[in-house]
Amino acid sequence: MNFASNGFLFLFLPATIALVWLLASRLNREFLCLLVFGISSAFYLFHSVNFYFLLLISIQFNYGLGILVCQRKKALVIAIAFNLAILFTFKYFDFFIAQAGYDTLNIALPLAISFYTFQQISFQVDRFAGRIQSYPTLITYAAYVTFFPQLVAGPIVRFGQVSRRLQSARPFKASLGRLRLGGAWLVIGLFKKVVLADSLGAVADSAYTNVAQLTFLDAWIGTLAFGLQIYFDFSAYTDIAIGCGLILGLRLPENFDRPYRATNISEFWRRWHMTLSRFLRDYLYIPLGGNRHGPWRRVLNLFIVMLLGGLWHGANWTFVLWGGLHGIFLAFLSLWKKFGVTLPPLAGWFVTFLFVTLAWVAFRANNIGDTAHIWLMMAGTEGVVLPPSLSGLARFLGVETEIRPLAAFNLLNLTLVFAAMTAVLLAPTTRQFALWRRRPFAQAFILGVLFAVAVILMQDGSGRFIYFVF
Amino acid sequence: MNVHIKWLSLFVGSTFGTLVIFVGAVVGLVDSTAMMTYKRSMVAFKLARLEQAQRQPHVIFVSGSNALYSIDSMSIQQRIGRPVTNAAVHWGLALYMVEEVVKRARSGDIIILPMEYSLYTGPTPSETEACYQIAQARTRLKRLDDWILAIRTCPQRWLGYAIILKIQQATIGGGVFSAVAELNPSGDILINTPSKATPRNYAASPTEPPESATGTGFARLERAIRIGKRKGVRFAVTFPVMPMPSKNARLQIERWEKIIRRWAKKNRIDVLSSSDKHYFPSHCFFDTIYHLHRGCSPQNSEIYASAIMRAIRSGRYP
Repeated sequence: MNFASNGFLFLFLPATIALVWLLASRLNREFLCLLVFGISSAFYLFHSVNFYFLLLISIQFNYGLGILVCQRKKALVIAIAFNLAILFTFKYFDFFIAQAGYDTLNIALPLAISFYTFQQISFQVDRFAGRIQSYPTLITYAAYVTFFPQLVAGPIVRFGQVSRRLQSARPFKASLGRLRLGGAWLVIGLFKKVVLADSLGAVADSAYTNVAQLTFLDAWIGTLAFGLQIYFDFSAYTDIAIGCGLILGLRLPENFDRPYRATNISEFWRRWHMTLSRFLRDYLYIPLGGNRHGPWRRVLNLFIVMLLGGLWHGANWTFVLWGGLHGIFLAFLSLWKKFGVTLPPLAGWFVTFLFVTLAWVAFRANNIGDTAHIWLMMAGTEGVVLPPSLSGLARFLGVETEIRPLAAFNLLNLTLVFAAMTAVLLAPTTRQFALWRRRPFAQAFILGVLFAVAVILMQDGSGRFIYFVF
Repeated sequence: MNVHIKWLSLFVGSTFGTLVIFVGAVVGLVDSTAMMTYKRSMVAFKLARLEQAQRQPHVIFVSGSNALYSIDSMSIQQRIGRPVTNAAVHWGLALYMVEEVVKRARSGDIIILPMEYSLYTGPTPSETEACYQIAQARTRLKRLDDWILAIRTCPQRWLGYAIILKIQQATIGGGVFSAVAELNPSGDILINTPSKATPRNYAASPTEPPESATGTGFARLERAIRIGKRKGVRFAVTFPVMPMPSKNARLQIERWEKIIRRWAKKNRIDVLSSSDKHYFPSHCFFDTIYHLHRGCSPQNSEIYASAIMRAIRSGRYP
């Protein structure tokens, strides 16, 4: 069930809130967790019936292994191997055998597998490291893994971040105050998804669906639109997840902190998909040696981490390329810092934004060939074609160039991308707006308008979240 | 508690207030948007030609923009010796046009339907049609779902563009508000001159055709055909123009053709020509893979004209 759908907003969520509201004070912790596990299972089953049992097996197996993992390295290795084996089988097996030249088995990708696998790996490692003192019951653990707001596309929640609440007497509860605060997160997320991300997605799609016909302006506007779309889309999902979590009494970690304001790539990764960045840092980069073995080893570690981070997004060379590019840029920044050279903030922001935007081409394009072609178009190797609306500009400048309607570049799309960019850089964050207490009734009024606009423009089935497929 | 209730009441109030204002704006304003005026003028012009009191039986093409751009009605008219009307309009209104044309068709008319990919296979009314009808003929939107679809779709489709067009008109000029100047008397579009074409290396991209000719779109089409047949109107189907397909795309197109042939047989409708007769090289296309320019549309029209002539000679048409 898509968050941005009538079924979720007007049936599933109100029913869930009503159930939790009514039963929170009547049920003990175990039954409340069972209730939320049941609701989350229903949410997953709406999406995917076939792989629900894989999810259950994964939970059961991890829970059992988790008991053994405490201080036992062999058990930890088995637990991690089990999780990675599931991920490899369902997500990467076809990809690798195709590379080896064999026929693929057409294995379908189970919904949310990347997220719940990483979440459970983090549980096992934390358990081994002694960071989980009180081992949860199976039902509490199942409620933690499957908690529906974060199940499909994160944020990746560590057990330690929610353990106190989950192991309290009333892990889930609803109230008017929570409804108000969580509702604010939810409405902002919904608006970002329906109004901004989906509109920008249409611009990006118009450029990327016909790569062979792209022009210089199409390639730039399409790529900028995609960079903004993926930010609004993914941060919207996280906002809605956090909002639902708050309404039900569970606070989930934030995933974004205005990443496009970063003035270097390292800062970008501290602001973008923060729960994944922290996961990669704590469970991969530091175990690999982090920055403890000299600058060259650090560079290598950064590169490996980003390469694998790229591959985590999907079994395609484009994701490997995207991760590899970020790895190279992070490594470059690490060496650059060593020489003590710093760029002025504005120049740093521009270089970072430009690099991130160029790297999105690899993320969005269907294959490496398309990626290279779009980069060449963006470099202006085929000249610049102007749309009829800019023919006056060409005459004014005395430039002779081809003039014809373009696939993605027009005044409306340009306005949209400009407005979205302005919002990304200048608008308050979701947290700031949700916690805006100085004028509560102005906040309620604005949120009401945003909600109405989002509901009007929302179309069932049309706006799936990008990260649903990872 | 009291503060929270006040806050939530204001939230709900502003949500409903916005909804009411929005619905009012859409219903009241969409009628006068540039795009709506353009579409309505095109539909009205084409239907007016069929409403003439004293007219001979016509050959009428109804489809999406593929036929609007790719047919030279005048040359077909000269070849077959009967008046031809190109009643094709842009995508999304084809089914609506079939129904409107059938209402105005008379005994002896031949309605030809170039069966574009997905023209009748999507949900009906399409978003475009729902939005058009809310302005044009509100009473035709019978279901609440259709109204909701229209209310949601119109602003996205047209109001935004209307605002941009207004700004463009006020600043640098331009913006088309009536389609009539762009049409010849038979209803063919005139702007697709070869000199304005944007040549690209087109290839038909494989589109997954449906498994069968079913769904609400086909049901509406079949209903319109039944009404037409009762009035003595003949129907025929054919295929739209497309660029030379790759092997994969060709298989898809052939599959679609088989589905259409089976559907035509079931509904006792002639199939005038096969899909491979309408493949054209890249240099023949005007701006997209669906539109021929006027340098090549006579060739396409000749294929239709020959097929109609064959059908007339064989006695299938009066």
